[in-house]
Amino acid sequence: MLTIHNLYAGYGDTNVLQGLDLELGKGRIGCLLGDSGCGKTTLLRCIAGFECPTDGRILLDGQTLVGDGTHRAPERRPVGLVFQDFALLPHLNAANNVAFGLSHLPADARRQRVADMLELVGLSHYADRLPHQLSGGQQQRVALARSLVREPKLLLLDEPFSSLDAGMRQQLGGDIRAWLKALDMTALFVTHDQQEAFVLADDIGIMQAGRLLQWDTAYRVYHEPACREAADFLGGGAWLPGRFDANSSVNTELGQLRVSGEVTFSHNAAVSVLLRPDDVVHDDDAPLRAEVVSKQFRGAMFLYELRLISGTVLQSLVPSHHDHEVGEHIGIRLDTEHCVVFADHRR
Amino acid sequence: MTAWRLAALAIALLMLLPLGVAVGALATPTGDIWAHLTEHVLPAVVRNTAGLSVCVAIASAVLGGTAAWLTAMVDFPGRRFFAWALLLPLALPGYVIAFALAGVFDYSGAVANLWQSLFGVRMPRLGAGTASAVCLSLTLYPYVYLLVRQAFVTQGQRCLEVAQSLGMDRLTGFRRVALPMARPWFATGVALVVMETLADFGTVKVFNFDTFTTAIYGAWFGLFSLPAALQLSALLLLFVALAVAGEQFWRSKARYVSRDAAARPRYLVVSRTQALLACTFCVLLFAVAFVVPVLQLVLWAIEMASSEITLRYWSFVRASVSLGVMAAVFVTLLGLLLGYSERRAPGIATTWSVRIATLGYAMPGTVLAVGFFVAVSATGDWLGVTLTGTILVMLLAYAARFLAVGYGPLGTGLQRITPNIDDAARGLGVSGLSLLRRVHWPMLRTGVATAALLVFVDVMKELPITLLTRPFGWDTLAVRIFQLTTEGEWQRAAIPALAIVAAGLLPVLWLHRHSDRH
Repeated sequence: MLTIHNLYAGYGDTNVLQGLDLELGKGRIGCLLGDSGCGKTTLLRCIAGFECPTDGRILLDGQTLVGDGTHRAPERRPVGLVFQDFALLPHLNAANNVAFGLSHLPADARRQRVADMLELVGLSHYADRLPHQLSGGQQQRVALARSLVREPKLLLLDEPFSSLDAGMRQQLGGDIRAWLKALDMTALFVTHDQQEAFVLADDIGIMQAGRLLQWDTAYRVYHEPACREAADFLGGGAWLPGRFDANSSVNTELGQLRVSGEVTFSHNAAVSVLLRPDDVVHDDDAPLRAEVVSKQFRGAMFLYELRLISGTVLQSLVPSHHDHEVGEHIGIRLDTEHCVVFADHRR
Repeated sequence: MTAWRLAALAIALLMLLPLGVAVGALATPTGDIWAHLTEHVLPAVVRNTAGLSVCVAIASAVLGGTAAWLTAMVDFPGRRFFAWALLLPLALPGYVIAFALAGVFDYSGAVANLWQSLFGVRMPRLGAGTASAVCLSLTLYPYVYLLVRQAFVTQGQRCLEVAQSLGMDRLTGFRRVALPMARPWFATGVALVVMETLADFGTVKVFNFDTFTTAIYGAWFGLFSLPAALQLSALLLLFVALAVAGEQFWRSKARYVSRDAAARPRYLVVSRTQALLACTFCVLLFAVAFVVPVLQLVLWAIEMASSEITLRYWSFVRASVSLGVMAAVFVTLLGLLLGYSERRAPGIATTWSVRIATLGYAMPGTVLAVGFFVAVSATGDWLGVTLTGTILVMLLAYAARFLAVGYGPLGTGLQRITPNIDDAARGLGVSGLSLLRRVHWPMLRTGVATAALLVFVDVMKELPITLLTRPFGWDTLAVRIFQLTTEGEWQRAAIPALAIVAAGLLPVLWLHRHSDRH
């Protein structure tokens, strides 16, 4: 559906995008996740046509939007864009904002389409309200409806929840996902918030310094990160040093661990094993002991930082009735079948 | 707390005085004079004033709007320079640009000679009304320019992007999104322009074009009838009320949406011909509204320097400066009083007092002059002292007219001192006078300086109030210019005019520093 090939973009001497590739299938919802300044908004603007890449191609449904000497004007791309601040027209009511991009249709058809769309997003009773009479979440829904009503092939959303409060995000995130799926809409959005990405997206891309570190399903991005940076950015956890053994396993101070996937290192190579906080389990009977360095109360769980004898610090999520003091030594064991391993460059 | 509220109320009532006097005078019979006015003066005056306002409003909207769009959105050579240079005409009072341009296009002037040698016929001469409209448009378009440009700089690019993401090309986007979006700013700017046009006295006087303000002057100093002058004032205030209503209505609709801080300003890339056209427009506007009149003044000034810069000239300067300083101090004090009332005794009564007190900027100087003169002389009669020969009337009228100008920066400064800052200081053991000295004054200093500067410069440029109410010996530079231009001695008026222009440039530069530089 959406294909981006070797995309470069920038202004002046700065390269904001540096050879980016991406493929988004029809009806899927993709998310670009990264810190501010990583180039995710620039990528979105390149797809929308407000920014012109210096090299590379963007294709939608097999048609070239930009690249190979063509640059289609933004208004001639079958792409909808929902702006970060919604950009509703303050002088038009909700219905007229939604109808704004439909001026090519006869009045009857236009009214019908607008009514249908407002019903989908649950704003039928607010059609006459002006933007400032609507709540933030309602404004977001009008902005979404305004883009969707034009039946674009691809919908882009720029930080869709940044101007909403936390409670609204969860609620609206689920709703938006349901609407997009109901319309079989292909969508791509950018955010810096992992929770938003998990709520809304099928596919997640982690961006750093103009490159895509990993582009995969949400599940695999968490459980099978493609590189250390991706693993650090999404999910967190700790790195346990070890030595690679020939039989697809790693010898560590916590014992021998099985490695997932087809990774091979030379025998006895120094590697790092990713241990997510849910991989390290607290067990009073376990022989292995670790010292509590710090603890963070999270309601149902404690997030403990635990120091092994070697000095390596692990993180562990522990049910909150196990309340231990800092400095105490508690028993732990690992609850992983296969571990993610990367070469250790630090040694 | 009540003391603060009473103070605000007192200031508001004081500022309402001329309005009350003018409306009250509608009931005073003036017999023959009123009959004479309605028959011979009023029809022409109403027609002229209305026509002039409409023409200046349209011309300012077109000039200011075009200049705003070009400098905010289009990439053309000289864009950066013109972005601030097109504000410079604010420094030229209407009555200065009027006589300077009149000189440039005079029968015996160089332009007329050139025209005759090129076309073989005499250069046509503009009527008094057209000439007044042209000069007022050239000095007042910056009001529209400033407001609309701010709207385009903050929202123009986004408007085009919204339109394009919804399938419209740039031109449609401009027409259907950017222009409607900027409508409140346009309307606010045009309403200010209309107020200034209604208040104008000096420009129309240069061309002998009869409007309400000149009629009020004529009724007072020609027919010696204060009641007639007051009744004309009341009628003029009807026009002003329309403009104020328009301005207040639209200003409430003009909400700023701050631009995404990360977004770089982007300019539309246009063809070379289009860029050249944009550049030509700005060059012509800047030349006619600023360069040519100032050059003319400089040429005249050089010619006249030896004979004009005498002891008498310095007496005009002294009058201008001392009136400016006194008004600046007086207005700043009133502004601080209002600001602290709003802070210490918030509530509907105080809010409305402040709003009413700062509404005087809409009142034409002639109306304020007549109103305060009558009110003060009545008070003097009642107290048994003569107050009308002092500068009290002037200062009151200045305060009414410029309180809004001075209150603006003071109010902004006071808003920055939040109640939390006061509480934090108290928590650290700083209170009372030492709180004022160590916390408020450092935070308010810039606001106070700005307010004083703006009022000072406005008083330097002010003509009708000074002309109508000055005591003997208080001839200012502006009054001097008026006297010389009414006698047709344009060359001799050049030096005082340049002094006023130089002072007028100060706040323009200040404005530029505080507006967007892109």
